Amino acid sequence: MDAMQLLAAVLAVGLFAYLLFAMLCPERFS
Amino acid sequence: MNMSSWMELGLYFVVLLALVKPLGWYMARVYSAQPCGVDRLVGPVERVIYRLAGVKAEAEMSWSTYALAMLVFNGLGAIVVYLLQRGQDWLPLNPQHLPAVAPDLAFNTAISFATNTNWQAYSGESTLSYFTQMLGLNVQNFVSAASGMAVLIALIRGVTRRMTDTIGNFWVDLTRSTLYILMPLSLIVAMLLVSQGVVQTFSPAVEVTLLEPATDAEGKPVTTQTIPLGPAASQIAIKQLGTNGGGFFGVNSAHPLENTTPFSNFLQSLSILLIAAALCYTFGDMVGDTKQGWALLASMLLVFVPMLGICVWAEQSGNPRLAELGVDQSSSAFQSGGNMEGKEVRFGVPASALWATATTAASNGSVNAMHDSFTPLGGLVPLVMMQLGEVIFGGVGSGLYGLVIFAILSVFIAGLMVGRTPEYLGKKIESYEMKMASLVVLIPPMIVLGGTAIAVSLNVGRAGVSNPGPHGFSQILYALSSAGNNNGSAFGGLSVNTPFYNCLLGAAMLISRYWLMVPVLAIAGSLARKKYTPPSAGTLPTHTPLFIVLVAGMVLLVGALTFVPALALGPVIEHLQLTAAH
Repeated sequence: MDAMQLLAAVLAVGLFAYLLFAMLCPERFS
Repeated sequence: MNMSSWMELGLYFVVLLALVKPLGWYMARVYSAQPCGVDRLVGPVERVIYRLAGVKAEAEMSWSTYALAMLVFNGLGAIVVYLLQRGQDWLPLNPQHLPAVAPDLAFNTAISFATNTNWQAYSGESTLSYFTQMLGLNVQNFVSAASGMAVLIALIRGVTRRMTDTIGNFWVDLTRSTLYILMPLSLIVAMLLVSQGVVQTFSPAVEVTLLEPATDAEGKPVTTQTIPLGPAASQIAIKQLGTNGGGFFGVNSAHPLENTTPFSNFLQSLSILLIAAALCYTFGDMVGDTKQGWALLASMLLVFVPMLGICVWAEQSGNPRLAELGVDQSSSAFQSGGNMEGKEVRFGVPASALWATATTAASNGSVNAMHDSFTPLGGLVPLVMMQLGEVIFGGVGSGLYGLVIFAILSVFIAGLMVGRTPEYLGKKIESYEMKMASLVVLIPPMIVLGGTAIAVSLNVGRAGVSNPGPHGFSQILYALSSAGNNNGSAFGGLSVNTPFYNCLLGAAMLISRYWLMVPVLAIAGSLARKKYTPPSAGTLPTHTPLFIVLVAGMVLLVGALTFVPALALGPVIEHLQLTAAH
């Protein structure tokens, strides 16, 4: 896995985590 | 089949079902305009789009206005895709200097992507520029999926609203589907695919020197190979999530740069069914009884799981002719076993069979193996899944509204049996709804069987067949089943880039998409006008195991009655020929 692939994986996990928390607590994120 | 294969299939269903509720709940909030977590990021973009387009978000539409907006929008989209293809030779991002696409192929491709079918009579890497793929096809990947979701939401509003003429605003539903659901999910999936090595670049194709020089058909030495590149990952993410299925490369997700690893394969397989499955929960949530949504999902699984089992079994059993020759087709630590012709070694039989079943159940149409090389019974499964009308998961939105139509048919027939006026979710089902539902159920089989009859009757239709006989008939039947149900998957082996097939399949895709959407919206409008009828002792409960079996049985019965004769002429004969004693 090269640096770009690692960066993509980190960004994907980060965005997924954000969306998950945003979905769980929509009032706090809206 | 070994333990890891069982675990792979089991994990697939566990992850899929675990995501149904959170994603379904999220989508219900999006469509109900409730806070849904990403408003702060996406809300300003949404408002700018409305302002630029002159859309009044609060304005409601009647079903006919909603349908007109949808048709005009999709029609303009098809025209734009057509023009992009015809003018790609003088447009930017065409590093391979590909020429303009021929008119019949451009027509077929434009209809294909506007209708969410994504039938591909071309090979992406040798026909379309990056500009055409991104601005033409990929935009349609989003908005055609969003159009299907919008129609579903309009139908749900028809069920839930009382004594009103309006079913929502198409522009708002389209925009929210795209911005709040498809784009965030696509972003995540695209980046995960990039992390697996799926290509995403504007660089032109590269030429590499072969490690082992080969010779071509004329005996000339071949020392180099051209490896096509391009912005693939971003297109693949939405191709799966939006149940589009149109691959960046010609061989779709069998290509090593489009589907690189077992994890990318798992992720793409999951994306095929994810939104379609989660929309069942959205349906239940929005009609105020989540059991209704779970019941529809259960009906889907009741058909899907046995069909998957047949496909895995048929493919894992291998080819009896090879068994006679003493070829070892058993599964072991050293080989996948089974029928590996046309399958990728990195995926094996179960993952290929799962993909084939899911992609045809879900009106997706992408492939990670050559369906033409499946055993006759293994190939019959994807054929049947399409012929069931793309209501077992089906396209995002379109699959569920199709199954709701089958649910309405089921309560009508059950109502006739017990002599009561049929009701579904508090709305009486009457003559008008049944007429519209009949159109939805009957039009696709007419297109598929009528189109197949035309193709096998004409020299231009038979000319494309690579394997005459029952298998050749299957190739034609598969192509029409795919186009006539807006699936888009290709059996392979049939030469379809001809004016005859481009026009025939283009017309099939066009009719089967919009002549279904309009009656569905008409039902939505009709239901919205009705008053609520509270359940009584004579009301058939629509969340019970009985109803789940009834709906699944209805889907299977209509499919079987319509297509068994045609199937008998293709895959069934081929299976008997394969297994006949010598």
